[in-house]
Amino acid sequence: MNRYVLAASTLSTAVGLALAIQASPGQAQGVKDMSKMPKVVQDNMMRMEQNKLEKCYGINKVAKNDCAEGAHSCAGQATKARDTKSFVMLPAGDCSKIQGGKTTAS
Amino acid sequence: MQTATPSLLELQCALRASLVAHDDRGISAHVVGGEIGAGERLDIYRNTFASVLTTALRLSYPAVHRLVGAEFFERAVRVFIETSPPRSACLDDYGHEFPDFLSGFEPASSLAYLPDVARLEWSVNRALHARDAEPLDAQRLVALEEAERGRVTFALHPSASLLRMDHPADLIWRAVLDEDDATLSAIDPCAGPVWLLTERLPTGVEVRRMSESAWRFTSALCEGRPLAAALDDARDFDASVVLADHLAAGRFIDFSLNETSA
Repeated sequence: MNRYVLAASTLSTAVGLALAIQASPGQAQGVKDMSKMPKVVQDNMMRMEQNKLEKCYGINKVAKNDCAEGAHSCAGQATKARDTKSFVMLPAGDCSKIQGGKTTAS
Repeated sequence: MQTATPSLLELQCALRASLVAHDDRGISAHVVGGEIGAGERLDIYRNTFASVLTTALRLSYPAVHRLVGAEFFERAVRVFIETSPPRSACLDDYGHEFPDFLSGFEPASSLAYLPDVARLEWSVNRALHARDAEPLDAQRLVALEEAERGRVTFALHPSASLLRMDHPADLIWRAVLDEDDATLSAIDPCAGPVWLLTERLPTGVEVRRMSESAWRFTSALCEGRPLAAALDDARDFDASVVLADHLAAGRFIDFSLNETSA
């Protein structure tokens, strides 16, 4: 088959199928089934939706700008933040639960 | 002694140097002192700057945060902020370079899959915050002349990302966020590559796997390859079914006709 004929027939079939899928019941949209998403993503999605009218511009956005949330006192931590170059830590979280993903000092 | 009054731009640049590079020389002369010295006052801004960005990245990269632990994450982010300070006032845009940063970040090099997990998380972040877009109405394709159909290429929905990863980042991501330790311990981090599609559907954000051939076909169409050329590489699968699925799901928002002959 000529490739343009093939492309034309592929597209026609696809469009026909797509319209059939869209016309079939069970395509009811607008129902939020977020159960498949991890909880954290659901939370972020809810935050995003609550803040729909407040898009961006740095401050007062979602939960990302909450000063009170920080575990550190206002000025306390930054004064000690100059040791970033001497970084000798190793990852120490859930990575240890993955086989073969063990954290070893290289 | 009175120094010349600086322009707003000069003050902003000096404050930026203080916040990002911890260089107070330009700004401290212009800070009103008093009981609390200029350096300490600037520390308050520095601390807020760093902790706000750290929180933003913790929300955008929750799985990375859990994988490396809170302390490691926070310290890695401090290094990242110095090399990649924000360029946009929108915190949701901050951190798209973080996966690349992690892949070159020596202390995290023992976790080869970590940059892939971060890339996946950025695609989820993008899916969450992308603008809404009207899906392409498949009826519009019906009107095309037969000769035009081979030249069709598609524009992917702005919330959708096609990712190819060396590691099974989708499994790791989901198991970490679900706190599913049994699955985590059963994952082979080298069981790749995987071909993923992240998108926002009416039902929520979804990450799903595609076959390599369907993924390549879709990528080609969305990168401007005309349908006839994309089909040349489509061997072991039914391209019309894949295409129908994309159209029915509203994954494309527009099409165009590639001018160059395929």
